[in-house]
Amino acid sequence: MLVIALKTLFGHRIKVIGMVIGLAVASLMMTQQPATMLSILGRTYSFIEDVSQPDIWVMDPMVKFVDDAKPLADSKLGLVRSVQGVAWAVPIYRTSTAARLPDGNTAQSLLVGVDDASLIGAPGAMISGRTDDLHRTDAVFVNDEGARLRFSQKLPDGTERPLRVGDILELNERRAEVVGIAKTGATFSSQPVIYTTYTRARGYALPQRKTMSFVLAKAKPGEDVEGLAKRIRDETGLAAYSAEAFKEMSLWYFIRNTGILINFGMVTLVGFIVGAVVSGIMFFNFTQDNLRHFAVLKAIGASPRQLLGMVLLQSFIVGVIGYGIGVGLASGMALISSTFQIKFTPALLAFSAGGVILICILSSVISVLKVLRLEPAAVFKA
Amino acid sequence: MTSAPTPVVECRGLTKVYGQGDTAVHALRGVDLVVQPGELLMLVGPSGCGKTTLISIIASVLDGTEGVCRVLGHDILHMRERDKPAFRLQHLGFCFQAFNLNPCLSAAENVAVPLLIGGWRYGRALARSRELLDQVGLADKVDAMPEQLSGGQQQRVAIARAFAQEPDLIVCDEPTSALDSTTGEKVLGLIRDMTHSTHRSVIVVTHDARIFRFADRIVAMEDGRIVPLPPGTPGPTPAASHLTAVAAPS
Repeated sequence: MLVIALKTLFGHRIKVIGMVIGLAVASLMMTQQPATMLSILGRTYSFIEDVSQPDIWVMDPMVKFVDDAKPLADSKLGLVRSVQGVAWAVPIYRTSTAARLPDGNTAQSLLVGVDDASLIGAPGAMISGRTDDLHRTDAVFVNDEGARLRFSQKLPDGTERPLRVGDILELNERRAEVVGIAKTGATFSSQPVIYTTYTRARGYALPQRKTMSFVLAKAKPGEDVEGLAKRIRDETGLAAYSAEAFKEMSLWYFIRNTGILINFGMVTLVGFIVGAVVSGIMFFNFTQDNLRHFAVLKAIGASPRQLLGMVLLQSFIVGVIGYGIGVGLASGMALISSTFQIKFTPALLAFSAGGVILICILSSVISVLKVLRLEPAAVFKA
Repeated sequence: MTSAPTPVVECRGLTKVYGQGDTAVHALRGVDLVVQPGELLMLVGPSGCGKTTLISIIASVLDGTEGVCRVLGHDILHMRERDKPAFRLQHLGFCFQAFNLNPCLSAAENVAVPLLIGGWRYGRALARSRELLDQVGLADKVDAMPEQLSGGQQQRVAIARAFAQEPDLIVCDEPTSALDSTTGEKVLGLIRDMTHSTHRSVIVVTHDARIFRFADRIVAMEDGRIVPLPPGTPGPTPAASHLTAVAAPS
């Protein structure tokens, strides 16, 4: 029976192509659009993820998201360290600064200063160089995306090359030597990120009375992180969140204030609807064209379960092909768009697969009802 | 003294009414019909006389309204819907006016359809199909698609399909109406030969007088009733009629 179902399906090539195109478009839009959205949203908290060691982020109570850091007085660091349950606390500094490249070009960058002694806050994964190299004179790390894109340099022969270890940058007319390229998540604004020590970063930045952006704190072993965060809030008057809570806070700030979810959600929904309508109509037409053959099968003795199995198999096959093509196209588009990293998570692929399955079920339900209600006596009509 | 064989089909007072009240259409008005084992019976009559309705009920693809209809001892009118597909698969073969071959399947695959429905493995079903196509003279067309076959060849494929699972009763609806006279006669000759060689029963609905001579018995219908054959109707040839006379029900 399955052979009959498959041969009948592929015997109607034009309709199969139509169904597959409908499902591929739906699958593409339901994969690519949410993936793009998630990648953009992921940028809103990538800085928090790149700093992996601290349990708690302490900040000014007015801070709404990670890029909204408001300067804190250095004295606040001592306050946090004095809270019971805090294992350690270190400062981290974030500011925006212009970097002059070896070729004379300038690019606005995010300058991050991490704790001088422990280097806590420095990126965990390096593409070239070692974390310890940050202790060297004038040493800075640059994030991979920044090195490849905004900091790439035009050579005399017209070609471009990315920033490399050994290149010299100028930050506020002070020398900075690139000693490492860090593997970090891209920032929301796609600005290059320059990492250096806290003290050096203060030197690179314009003079400010308050310079600390966040205090990164670690809970003692066995200490409840949420409980400690509350204690820090109560005892210092500052805001304190677990890394996870801070990520969520930053994420929801962007969702609420940018309309990103609605816009991408609408396109995803349109993809689903277009796919459902195109595939549904094509599949219904396909079944309609084959009603006589279904009636013959029914007259000969095929059970409703067998007929149902045939329709579902046909639907499943076009679904798998359409989904595969759609996801393949989405991956191809992601590869072509090398300037924008898109991640296809298993959950996302399951989401678009679920959408395609739903379309297939909706399409086949209409057809199945038609087949099951079919009078086998119809075969005796010429 | 030998007892009379159990009829393959036995209809008594069979009626079929479509619709209700003033719009009711009486398609069958008390049909009595008996078909014996090994018999090739032709059901003849003008269009709309109830022939197709009668074989549809016998084939259990349409419900009768009143009366009795036993096929191979099974009470068709009271058979549960869910049991009908298995009954048809096991006991009945079909041959249609429009052949009804699946254009996406080869000749052999079309013949194999009842076997595949019955759960045969694909390879085994195809082997059996090749045997049947050989019997109907299409051994060289096993891989041909329906569109590559002539009308007569397509009907022979359909006949092979009807005989595939060795049914007890084969129901043919106007099997020659889409064929020219020579091809039609060849097809009926083939049906008769296969029927007699396998001792199966066949009901052929037709109004093609050219093929009446292939019948063992001819039953005429008019206005939903069995009626005597009109005078001058060509009858079965002695060679064709291998059965002892069976009284045509009134």
